Amino acid sequence: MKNWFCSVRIIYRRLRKNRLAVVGFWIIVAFIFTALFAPWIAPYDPSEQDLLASLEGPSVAHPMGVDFFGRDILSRVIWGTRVSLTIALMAVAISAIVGALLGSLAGFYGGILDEVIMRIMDVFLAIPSILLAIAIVAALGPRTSNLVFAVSLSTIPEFARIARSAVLVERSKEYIEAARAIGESRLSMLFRYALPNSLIPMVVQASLRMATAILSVSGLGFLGLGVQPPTPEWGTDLSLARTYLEIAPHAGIFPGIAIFLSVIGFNFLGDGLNEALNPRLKDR
Amino acid sequence: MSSVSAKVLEIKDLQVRFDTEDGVVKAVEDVNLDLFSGEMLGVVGETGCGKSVTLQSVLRLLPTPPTRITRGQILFHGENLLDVSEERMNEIRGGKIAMIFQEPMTSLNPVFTIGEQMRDVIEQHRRVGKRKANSIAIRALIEVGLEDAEVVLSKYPHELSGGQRQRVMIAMALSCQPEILIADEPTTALDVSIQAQILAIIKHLRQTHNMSVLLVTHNLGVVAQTCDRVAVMYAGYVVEKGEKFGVLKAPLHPYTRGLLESIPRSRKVRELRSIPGSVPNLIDPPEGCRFHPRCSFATEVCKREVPILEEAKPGHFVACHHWRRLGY
Amino acid sequence: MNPIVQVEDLKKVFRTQNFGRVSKITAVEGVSFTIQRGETLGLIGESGSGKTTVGRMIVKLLNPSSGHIKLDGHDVTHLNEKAFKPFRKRFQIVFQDPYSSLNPRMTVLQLLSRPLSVFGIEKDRKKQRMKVIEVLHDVGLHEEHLNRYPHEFSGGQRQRVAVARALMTKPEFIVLDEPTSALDVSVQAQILNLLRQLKAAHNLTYLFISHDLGVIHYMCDRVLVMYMGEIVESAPTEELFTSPAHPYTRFLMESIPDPDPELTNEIDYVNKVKALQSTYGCNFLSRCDRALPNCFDRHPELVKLSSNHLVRCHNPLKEASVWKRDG
Ligand SMILES: Nc1ncnc2c1ncn2[C@@H]1O[C@H](COP(=O)(O)OP(=O)(O)O)[C@@H](O)[C@H]1O
Ligand SMILES: Nc1ncnc2c1ncn2[C@@H]1O[C@H](COP(=O)(O)OP(=O)(O)O)[C@@H](O)[C@H]1O
Ligand SMILES: [Mg+2]
Ligand SMILES: [Mg+2]
Repeated sequence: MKNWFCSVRIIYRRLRKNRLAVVGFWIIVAFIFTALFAPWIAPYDPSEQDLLASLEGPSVAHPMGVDFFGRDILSRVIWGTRVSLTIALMAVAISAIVGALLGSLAGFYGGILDEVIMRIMDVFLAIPSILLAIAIVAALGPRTSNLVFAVSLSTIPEFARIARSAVLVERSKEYIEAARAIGESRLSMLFRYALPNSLIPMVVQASLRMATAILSVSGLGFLGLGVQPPTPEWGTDLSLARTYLEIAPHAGIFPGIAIFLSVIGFNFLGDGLNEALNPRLKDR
Repeated sequence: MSSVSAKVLEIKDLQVRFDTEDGVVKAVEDVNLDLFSGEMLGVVGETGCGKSVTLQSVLRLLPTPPTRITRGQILFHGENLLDVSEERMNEIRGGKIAMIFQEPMTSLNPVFTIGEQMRDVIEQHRRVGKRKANSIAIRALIEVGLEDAEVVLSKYPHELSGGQRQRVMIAMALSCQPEILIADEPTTALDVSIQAQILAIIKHLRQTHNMSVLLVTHNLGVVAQTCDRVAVMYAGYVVEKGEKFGVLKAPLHPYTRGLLESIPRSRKVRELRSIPGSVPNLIDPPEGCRFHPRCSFATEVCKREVPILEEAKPGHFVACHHWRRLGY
Repeated sequence: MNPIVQVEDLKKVFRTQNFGRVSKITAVEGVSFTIQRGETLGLIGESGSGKTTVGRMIVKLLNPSSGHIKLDGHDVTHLNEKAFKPFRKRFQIVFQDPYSSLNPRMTVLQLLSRPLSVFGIEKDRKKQRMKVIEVLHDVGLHEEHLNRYPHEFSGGQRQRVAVARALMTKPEFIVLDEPTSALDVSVQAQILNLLRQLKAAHNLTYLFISHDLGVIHYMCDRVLVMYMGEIVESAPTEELFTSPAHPYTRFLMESIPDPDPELTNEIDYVNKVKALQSTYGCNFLSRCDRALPNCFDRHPELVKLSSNHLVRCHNPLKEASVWKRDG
């Protein structure tokens, strides 16, 4: 663990020098905090309706205003953080695990297995991810589990590719040969030696993929294929606000800003991590 | 031998620091070296003792940051290279002072042929036309033992063997008629037989072109067989320097002695005596004499005071508090 | 008793593919030798001569293209990984570069206790730890090093860890593949002395691979000289150094710069390499200054000069010593 801690400290030190990454980091911390403590932070119940206040602009009582159904937008944005982040996180976690497994098997064993796995991945890569997600949700219905599945499926190939190339690099290292010489089995070599050493590029990718996943979740919501009302979700809310955008722009602006900030936060952090881990990128 | 000839290069009190994430690396401390006209000076020491940094400072090849040359002068015919303009430096680099490296591949461009690169360098430094540059290149290649020079000119760096590449580098350096050749571990990546050839070429060229050579290596054998004088470095300091016969046959510094006793030799087998411990970290080096933690003669004074490089015998300098006690 | 290692007519061909073009490299060609228990056999040659390939085939990290390998009398050439496992325990290898042969994410304790778990020698954590400490002491390291990672060590210490790992299973035989060529001389001497001590203490047999004749002279009882995948000379160490028979062996010896400035070996190398080539003849032809007409036509066989001195040369050197003039 000391080693991990040591490299984490170095990465953190490098990261700190990159201003955008620091901004991204704090944005994400803020969102995570919001998601965790939504019930305590939100001033109202996100589905509580006050029809008399419908489409009211920002005021002291409702800092972000009120939507068509008379619900407090601030509370909906806060609760929406929870929904968006959870779905995105689950999707990324699943695709990272599945991708890592497929990619490392392909890379480690090579041959036919490699060919088959990677060609299937290529097929998925060739389909635009949002189209794939739309098709899946449209076919299976807009349940949360289907949403997670749809978003994760389209990012598996990226993870598989990264894991595969990382394992290929590791496989050619001498300590893998040394492991053979002390009688380690192939599976143990893969899990104990090759995989842990390819973890870092996966983390970078996960951060970048979080941004895309959030965008996909809200995109699907916007199209009416995502989280169904009245559950608060940024994309769904944005889509609802579209109709009244001229008379009540605030109803769309605030969920939009939330989407924008979270996506940018994860992207800044991901890019910063990437730079911190590959110092050579900086010179270019 | 070289006592009457002129000093061409003088490194005075050079001190170099690197600013890194972990702290300041005290890489080179008060290094003094002179190179006389036509002589060959060897700088030896183990990995990380500051040999390359010293040489690269001469040609200002180190990027700033992280490098800081905090003190010292580098006098080339009396001109301080640390002060001159970048244009002047470009004239000197490759023209008056040429440098070759351990891994020639890093200083050759993989996408151009050897001919293109050599002609380019020659045109720049000798101010001659294409034709003339070509014939100079061919002459230089033949001189370093590459008989089929025209074939070599048409090849890409990766099509040559390690030894051939190093010869090309030497030919390239040579074709600009430098006064000084700086060679940083030119044979470390090569097999012994190729090493012997490359060293023979360097020796031969030094005589025919009257060049001065500054040869850096970690191999004491290479110094013994090629150089006139030797400087031994340890952890950033020059700890001993002088005529090679003096330094290698009657070393005064315990480190030099330890190094000599730890080389397994093909001609005589005897018990190897190793130096205990390992090279110190230069971010937080030992106080006083940096060798004291590994030295069996160390006393209290070694832990406190940095020994100065003093002239123990004529032309033989040593930086040790106790050399008088240890002298042969 | 059986020789501990016996290889017969070993051959290894690598197929490499670049841009679809398949090319074959014969890395090892017809190599045969035996290693007796308790001896240190040296294997010397320039880079690319096939030394590592031979070493790896013996411990079955590579499979030979043809030929046989017998370990302690058992033919292991065609054994699969599972059947070979008992031999892994007894036949170990130490690699050249301690910076790449240790997994950077494992502590010394983890690195050294793996062999104990894998071979089922010791399952109990506490006892594993004790065994590891014992071996660490053997290689000159201490308990405080247990929880450190490879990057926290110097090159010499890492190589000690690598040696310790090979010792964990109490092997009888170790291939040492240039164990000191990535190290500085002062540290090299430490490791060489350590290896000699360990050999005596644990009754080990070594195959010692190196490109440094000085190191070979210090370490070995008998030496094989390899050139382009073949053995060109084989002799007891002293005999090889006093009267080398193959011009290549002498050439190697003369190429080594000695740290004594009075022992010079001036050779005019500048124009020495002649362009002699022959498809049928001797591999060394292009670098040889003793070539006879025969050398162009026939590939020389490995012939006996005396009971334990073999050479692959049509015109072997006969004069007693290269170093005679040094006294
Ligand atoms: N760019 C750099 N940044 C930090 N430290 C450096 C840098 N270059 C060299 N050093 C340090 O300076 C010391 C001397 O290095 P060098 O001159 O390359 O040694 P050598 O004698 O092997 O050529 C070493 O401790 C090395 O770690
Ligand atoms: N895995 C491999 N694939 C292809 N060629 C190889 C491989 N391993 C070694 N070779 C080739 O085999 C020859 C002998 O290599 P090696 O045994 O490593 O030599 P040495 O250890 O003596 O330097 C070299 O020409 C090398 O390029
Ligand atoms: Mg260097
Ligand atoms: Mg090798």
